[in-house]
Amino acid sequence: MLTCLKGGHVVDPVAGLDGPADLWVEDGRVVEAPDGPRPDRIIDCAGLVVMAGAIDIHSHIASGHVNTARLLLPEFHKAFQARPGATKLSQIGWTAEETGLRYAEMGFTLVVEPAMAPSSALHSHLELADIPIIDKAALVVLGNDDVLLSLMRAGESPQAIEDYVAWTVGSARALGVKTINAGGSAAFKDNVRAFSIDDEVPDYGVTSRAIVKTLQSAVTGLKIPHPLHVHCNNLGIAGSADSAAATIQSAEGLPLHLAHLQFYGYGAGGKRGFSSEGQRLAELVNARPEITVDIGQVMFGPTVTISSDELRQFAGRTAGSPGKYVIMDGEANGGGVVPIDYKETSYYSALQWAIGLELFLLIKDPWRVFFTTDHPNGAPFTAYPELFALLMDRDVRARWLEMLPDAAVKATCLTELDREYTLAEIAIMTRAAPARLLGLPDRGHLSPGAVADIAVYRPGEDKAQMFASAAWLLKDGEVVVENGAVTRRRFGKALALKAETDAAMGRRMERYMQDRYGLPAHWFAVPQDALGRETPFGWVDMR
Amino acid sequence: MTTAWIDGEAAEHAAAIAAAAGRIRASRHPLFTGDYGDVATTRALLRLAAQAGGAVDQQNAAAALGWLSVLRETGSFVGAPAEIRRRADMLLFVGPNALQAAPELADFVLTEQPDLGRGKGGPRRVLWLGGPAALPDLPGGGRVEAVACAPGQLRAALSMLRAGVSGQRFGKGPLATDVIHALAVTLREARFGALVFAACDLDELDLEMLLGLVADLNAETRWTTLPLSGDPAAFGAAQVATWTAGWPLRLGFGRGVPEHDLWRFDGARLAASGECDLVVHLGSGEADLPEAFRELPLIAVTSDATAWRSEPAIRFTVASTSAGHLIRFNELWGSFVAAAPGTASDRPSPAELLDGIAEALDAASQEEAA
Amino acid sequence: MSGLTFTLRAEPEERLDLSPLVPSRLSGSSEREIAALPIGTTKRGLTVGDVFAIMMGEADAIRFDGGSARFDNLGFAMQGGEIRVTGDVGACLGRRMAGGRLVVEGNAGPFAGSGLLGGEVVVGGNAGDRLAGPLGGEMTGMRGGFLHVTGSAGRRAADRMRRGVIVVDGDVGEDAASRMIAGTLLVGGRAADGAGTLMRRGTVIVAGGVSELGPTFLDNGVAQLLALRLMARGYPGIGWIGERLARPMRRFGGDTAALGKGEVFVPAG
Repeated sequence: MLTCLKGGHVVDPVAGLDGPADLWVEDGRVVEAPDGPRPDRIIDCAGLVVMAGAIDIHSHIASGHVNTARLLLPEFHKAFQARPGATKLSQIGWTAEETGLRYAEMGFTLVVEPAMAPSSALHSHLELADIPIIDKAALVVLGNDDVLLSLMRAGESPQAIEDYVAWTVGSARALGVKTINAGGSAAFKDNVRAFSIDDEVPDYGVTSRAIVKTLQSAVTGLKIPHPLHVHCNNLGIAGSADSAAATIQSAEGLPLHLAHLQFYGYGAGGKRGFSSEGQRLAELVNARPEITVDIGQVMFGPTVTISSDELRQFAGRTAGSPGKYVIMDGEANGGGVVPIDYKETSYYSALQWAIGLELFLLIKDPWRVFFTTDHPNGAPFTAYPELFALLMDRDVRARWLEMLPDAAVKATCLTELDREYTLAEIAIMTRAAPARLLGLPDRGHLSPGAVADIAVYRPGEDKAQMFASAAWLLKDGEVVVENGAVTRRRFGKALALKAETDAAMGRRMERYMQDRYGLPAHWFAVPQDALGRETPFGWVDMR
Repeated sequence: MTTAWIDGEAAEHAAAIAAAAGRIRASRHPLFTGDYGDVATTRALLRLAAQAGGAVDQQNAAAALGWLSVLRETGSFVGAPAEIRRRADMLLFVGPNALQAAPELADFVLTEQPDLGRGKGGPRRVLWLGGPAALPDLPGGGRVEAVACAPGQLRAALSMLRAGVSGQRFGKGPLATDVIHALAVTLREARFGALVFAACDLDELDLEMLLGLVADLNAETRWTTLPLSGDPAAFGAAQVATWTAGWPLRLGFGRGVPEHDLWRFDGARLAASGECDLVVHLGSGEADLPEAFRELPLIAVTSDATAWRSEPAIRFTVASTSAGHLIRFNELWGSFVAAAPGTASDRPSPAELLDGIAEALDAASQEEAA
Repeated sequence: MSGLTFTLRAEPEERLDLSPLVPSRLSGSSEREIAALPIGTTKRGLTVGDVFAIMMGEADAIRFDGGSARFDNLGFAMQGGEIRVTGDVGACLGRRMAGGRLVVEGNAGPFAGSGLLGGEVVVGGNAGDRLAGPLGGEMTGMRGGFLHVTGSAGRRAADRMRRGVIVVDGDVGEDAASRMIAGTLLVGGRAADGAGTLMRRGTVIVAGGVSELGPTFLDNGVAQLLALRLMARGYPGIGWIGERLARPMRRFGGDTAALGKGEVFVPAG
């Protein structure tokens, strides 16, 4: 079937397009305008903005921890008895199904779960398989696991470590590798309660820095397109900017992605001992072209933090609201679920909000900064349209600032920043850059050959309204959303790397797991036929 | 090969599917329950129940839901068995059935000495509060230090211990004051301790007391818990329900959207009160059917083809093995595990059967709408 | 003009969600509009008109002629006015009610007064388990108002109660006042085992005594409860308070397994 999206304002920074153009789609791909044949379907896009489908590189949508958060907070879900005081999470229903529907309605076509534990990769993929419409992917977490730390302690070769990383990526069907407070969870199980980049993990004698560098080398050596995705040490505490700065400096010219930088934008200055380091971090990022970051923007309201940073979640457990939490001593990372309420009236929450925006506006290159809220940690993903409006419209920012405590407004340089993101910059940050960062050459743009994931928006003064509700969404060339409502249910794929795994490493892992854990290593694997979908995976080439 | 019976008479499979869909359509409030828990079956059952506007329970849900109730009311520390096996230098078993609830798991945790972290090299201390009179030998050798306590006194003992650990006063109870003080010191000296208990056997407040103790101990050192759910299948079904509907079991779809209520959608209560008028039950055979459901119209989905003494309205037999990977929650692993494929069967899998009924139901609804 | 009356036609086959039938929601509605409100909980989609004969009247005084253990959520989030039921009700009577008066002449099911915020709830018969308690996952139970059960109450009455007063004339089941945060529970009869388990603050007064308090309740000696006599004057309709609580009471402080600032009073000697 040949479809033509006619007369829209196409914003495709990769092709250098920012103006009226027709788009042709056939068999799930964007095609050249054909000479002869008439389209089977014409979608009138006159007056509308046409972009590639949006891509979210960091959103906790599918894992054992996410499910634990659902279990911990039944009262956050809609329809749990009729109850007043709806939360943002209650608006999204918070199921696998609603995750797909709500993302699609906003024009998203690919979402990455950033924290898949190797031992519960199957759980993550089972949930991903139940998320309709969009494609999805997951990053596998290493850096607190006994295998890696033991290999490092024993001084094993970079090749052995690469083989182990490749084996894990292959077993877990991952699109990349993440490390979360590298060594911190392992140290916490030995009752270490503060852990920084040059601290050693007890018993293993390796530092957090060494773990990050080792994984960065392995990811680079294996030609995994997505750079090592790093959740730094000391998230969320006053003074955490030092940890982020040290991690940025440790990149040493090789690609490194820092997750939710906002949560590290904190100094210990001011009379409350909590100040903004947004400018400092933005300058560091600007000066280091090998660094990419996502923000983890805080938006106000009750939500829940879900993290595999067990040490951090333990430290923050008593500050949660409502006052209940789950701390998981997993093998390897573990993690924690701590509910939180970001209040507009709170100096701390307000400053967190401002620091996120400082970073967005001060980091100059839209190819290197990503729009996340670290769903649901800073805010549920349904807050994205409001976030885009804040970036695109300084008057919207001014209105929000009026609501915030004076002390917080005084502590941020946000009032001085008048940058407004252009549509083209939004298209880079939400489409082109994520596709490039993840190594997906046929996504994030609309040139012939691209996957026909196309979002069409109705432009207007209210940018939040524009991005909340796509006028049209095509997924693989098929219309799935019209006027902000899903019209066709279908299932996308989980994108996974074509990782070549070394048979010897497989045998070694089988022996190691039996010997040390008394468990079979093949339980890490995610079999294709286990997920209840005909083609659960889409394969992605190494670089 | 016959795979379906209507009123005890052999029937064509397709006819029985249509009859089952008809029964479900005619039912005011069907209940979907039984002994299931693999992911494919749970998914299919939830889909069918949602379409039918029914209620969903699982035969052993109480075992898992008691624990999940406490978890969501008070939070918890929870440890992966694999980490406890390698790291815990102290285990405190609580309650008479702490080992029996999952003997395999207890063996798994106890077999080796700790070889990670500060407790590396062992020995591991194993204490048992309120264990059985005759303590079993531990796998891998080692001695259990018994702290005697009658089963009915467990909560009292735990409360004294919790007060003792946090330096609060307490009065006379099932354990002598000096025993409590000594035990509190011991627990605080653990480098990585794990409290092991049969969650399915303990009252919710007992569990809350015990989780409070662990939270208090973590102020100074590291403790975690290993709750044994008593039925990994029910726990797995609750997990699937949680990402599908937003809550663990029990669920109802009578109003078109999922609702969660442990009391309203309790299958036994629904049957006893007469609120449900049809039961769709998954099990191995007639012996597996709870008493509560025997008086109600029944669609039985069983793996055993033996005729029933009292035949249900409709009976299907399904495969007991799977040619593909079967996904179940595994307590040793602490997550879902794919079981190696077995032999193919001529019979449909439970999921295929339930999907078949759902499709027939769907077709009938569309026909009516047209 | 008399109150709006709902007369039950027959025992309902399914549980009913009566949450829409409160004064604030019905005020200004026509009979047709009321009759069309959905109250069923199965796919049949029962409406008010299917279940009740409606006699129109003032919406701030609603009367249910005939009750059922299947009447759930009666008086849900009620803000004011009065509802009276001449019979039994099911689960979650007066849940999250903030004001007004709710009277049930028969028995109430589980979670009666769940999360009560204000107003007055009276149960003429017995109440089920978790009187005034939170629903799964909620961190607080009753937060204000007055709840009076003339009969007895089931297990875990006043669970996670934070504010307000509950009076149970009869007995309470096991684990009354579990996890109590604050507030007052007065029991005319006896409390079964486990009263006050994990209570942090708050006051429990049991005129008929408790079968056993845990070891984390400490005996603070005998006290004459002047405050109770004052309280008795506040509830003149509940005669036993003045009579039975005039005697000396023994105070136990606990639960020291939790914060330990709660108190349980039982008759001395």
